[in-house]
Amino acid sequence: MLHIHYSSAFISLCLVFILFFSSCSLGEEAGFEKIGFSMGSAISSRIYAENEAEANSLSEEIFAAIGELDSLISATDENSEISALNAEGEFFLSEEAGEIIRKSLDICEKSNGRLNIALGAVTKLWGFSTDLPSLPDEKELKSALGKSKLENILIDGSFISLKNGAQIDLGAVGKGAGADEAERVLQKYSCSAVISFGGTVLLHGKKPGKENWVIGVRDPFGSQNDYIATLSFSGGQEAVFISTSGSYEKTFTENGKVYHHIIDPETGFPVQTELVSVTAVSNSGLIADALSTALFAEGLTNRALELANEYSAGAVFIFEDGRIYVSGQIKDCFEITNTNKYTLMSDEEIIC
Amino acid sequence: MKKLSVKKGDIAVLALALIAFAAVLLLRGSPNTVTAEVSINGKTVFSSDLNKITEKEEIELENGVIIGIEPGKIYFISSPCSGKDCIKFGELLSEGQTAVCVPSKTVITLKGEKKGSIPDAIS
Repeated sequence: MLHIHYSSAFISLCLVFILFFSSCSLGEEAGFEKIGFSMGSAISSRIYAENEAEANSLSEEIFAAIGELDSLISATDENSEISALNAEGEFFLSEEAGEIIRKSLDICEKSNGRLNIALGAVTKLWGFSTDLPSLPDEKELKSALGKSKLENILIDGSFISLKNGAQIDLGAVGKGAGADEAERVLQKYSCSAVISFGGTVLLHGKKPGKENWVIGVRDPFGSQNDYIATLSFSGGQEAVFISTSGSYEKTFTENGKVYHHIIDPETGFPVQTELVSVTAVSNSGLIADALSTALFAEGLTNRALELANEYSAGAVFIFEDGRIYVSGQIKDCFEITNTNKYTLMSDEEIIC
Repeated sequence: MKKLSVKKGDIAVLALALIAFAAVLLLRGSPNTVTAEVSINGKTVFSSDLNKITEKEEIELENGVIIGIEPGKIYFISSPCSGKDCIKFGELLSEGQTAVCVPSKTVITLKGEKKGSIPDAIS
């Protein structure tokens, strides 16, 4: 007969360990969340830090950095550098603002003007940055469009001149640039984080635990908390930026017609397209933000795919009839969650 | 075969372990607790366990924003601004969801322990 010796203390110890580890599994590491306000949006931050005080302090530093950038580049802040440039026709910009202008102009050029940061005179008439956007007078719109050529922006280092009444509007790149600022702050610290505002999301580091970061692609026809697909990222050394532009944002209805805020630089009117949204993924916030607008304006064409490729960016094109096309290296990270309404297009299906 | 002998010390250790486990459960809250928090400019002005709401209520905040709360859900009904973008967030039903009125800096957040299939963010 086998004699088994039990140590009652050993049994107690085992029970303690079992109870301890089961209680640990009840709560996963959640990170500390905080909401701030800047660039006309709510900024949501989740920081995985050692304690809440540290996370809150880092969140506040991020909000302040974004706010500072906004004070430089906002076209609606009369004290900003961009407002001064627009008012005076020339200005010596700070290094930060100058760099944003230069990078944006590069994308404007490569997109054949489908992104246009000289569209300020037109966007001002539409009033989408105010509470009361409206249909502009046609003559005024035509005149404003004439001023909005990219060649009216002259650059000499950080000294910018505007010809023929051109006005700068960085609305298509501002939040992306803000996300880049957030990343600059986060790089000083060893923590993981997810920062999101106005459709732009920054993923910094790896998500604690074994899971990937999962980003929802907003349902163009649902509420702001609804999503129809996900993009999954393992995260790591290089930050990932995701930005979406959609015709469901900032709309108004006049005489029964719905007008959205993504203006076609050629017509001065909202882009006419079968797309409802484009999501761009890049290792730069400004590029992701700019591309989401440029690709939406361009539509799903060979030129659009080449533009995304030029910047090694991935893109998700969502059509109003539920078809979705995914380009670039993000194909394997993408999954449709609402398969009732949405279907994935193959490469053979796209007609460019 | 030796009999299992339980000493007083073992009982004490076991009792301590059980108390600690119970404390963990209590501190973390019941898995079914869903707390709705409403804040204005970062300051919490209202907090409620949605599972304890028994009927529909409308709450007007000091800044004129009106919030609706029902068993298991909370949402913006109206705000003083002309944009009314906050209403487009719809009903908040799951932990982790957030709705925001930017002009009034009013935020509704649902907090809880149960982890649904909510993504880390929505773009």
